[in-house]
Amino acid sequence: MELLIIGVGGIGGAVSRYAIGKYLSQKSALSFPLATFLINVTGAFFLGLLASNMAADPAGILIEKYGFQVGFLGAYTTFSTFTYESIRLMEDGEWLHFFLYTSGSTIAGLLACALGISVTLW
Amino acid sequence: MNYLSVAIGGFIGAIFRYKIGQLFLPVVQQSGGFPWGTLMINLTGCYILSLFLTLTLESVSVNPNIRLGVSTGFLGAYTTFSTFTLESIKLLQQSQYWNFGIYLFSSVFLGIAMSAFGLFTARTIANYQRNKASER
Repeated sequence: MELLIIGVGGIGGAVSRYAIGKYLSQKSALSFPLATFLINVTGAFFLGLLASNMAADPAGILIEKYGFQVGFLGAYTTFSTFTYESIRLMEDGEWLHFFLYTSGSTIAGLLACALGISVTLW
Repeated sequence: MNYLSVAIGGFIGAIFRYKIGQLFLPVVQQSGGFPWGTLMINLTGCYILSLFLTLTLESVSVNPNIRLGVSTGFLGAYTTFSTFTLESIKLLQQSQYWNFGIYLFSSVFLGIAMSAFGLFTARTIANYQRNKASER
């Protein structure tokens, strides 16, 4: 059962990532991969938020953990595209963007996740 | 049709990530909570995505929907950024500063290195094919 829920969450996450990426690439012609950056940072925030606020009942856990955390947010955010875009920036000699993208994604992602965790403590 | 191939890839990628993560659970427990599962998933995904995208961009022609489904769908959903950040923060919360540093460094630097290695592999294959074709 949890496999099906993870799979359905994965569909939602991957399709959302694709739609956002497509929309943002039409809006801007920057060489900086803004779409993946925003997707990964927002996904890190929401995973922090959900992880610190787990449902108590078993049915809620099934949907929240497998559907949203593992399935949706796991698939919505992506690591492989992040590193692939990084090496393409390097290859194009866009060193400033390469540095900003790799360190920016990592630092902003960690901060967003920590912020998501701490929101529920307030 | 684009959305369908991303959806199918995303469905399979998310399930693959979960299953491989489960395979690594004993290793994670043995190492005192170091997130080996996510690290291995992300590093293998980085290599395969870069190899696949470069090959299909530069030397092998493949149906665009299959290319999209495998890259944006499957490999995009198989690898994950959010779990990487959550596990990093958890290591910090548990005062495992060494493991935090090692996890962060190996994910980002080795991830980039694996992508570069994937690109290199794809170009080597393309060169080999070109040389073989010119010998004929």
